[in-house]
Amino acid sequence: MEEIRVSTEKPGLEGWLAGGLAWAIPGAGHFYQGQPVRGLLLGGSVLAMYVIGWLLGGHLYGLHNVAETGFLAYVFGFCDLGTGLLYLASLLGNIAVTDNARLATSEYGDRFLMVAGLLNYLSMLDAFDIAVRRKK
Amino acid sequence: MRHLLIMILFAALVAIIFGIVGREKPFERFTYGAKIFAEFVGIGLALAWVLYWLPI
Repeated sequence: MEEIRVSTEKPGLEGWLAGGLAWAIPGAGHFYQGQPVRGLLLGGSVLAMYVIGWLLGGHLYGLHNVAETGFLAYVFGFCDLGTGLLYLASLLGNIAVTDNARLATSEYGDRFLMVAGLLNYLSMLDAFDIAVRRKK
Repeated sequence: MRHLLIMILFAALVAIIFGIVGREKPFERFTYGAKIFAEFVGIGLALAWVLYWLPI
């Protein structure tokens, strides 16, 4: 049975900073807390997933251009937003924003990009938990 | 073949992150990650065979 640590302390600035960094740059929250190997593995995996998704022809969903996909685009956009600055930089730089529906792997690419964001949310929560000492 | 490789790559990357985040001891991380990977690939292949027999 795994031990569950419950912290009664209010999360301080450290926790929010670690979480924010982990969201903005995948892996950075763990680097900031002196856990470079963990940061490298988490950040590297998220980054790899993002690059593979892009190479497979996937595209990012914006939070504004929802005319074709409808409400689901907001959900997809939220998933994509998880990759932090990568997502924002891609939108600004017009990288992975075009739908390549004629490519057989474009749907896979979309999922890779979304899951990269969702996994980075997990990584962000992990960094936050470490900072507030709920985890080691 | 390419689709299988993509699935394996997906499973491996997800398993790495789940392993790190889901467990705290190094050996448990490894076994948990391996279990996640095997489940992703195994269930993916099983579903593929089920869908193969469905007339579409």
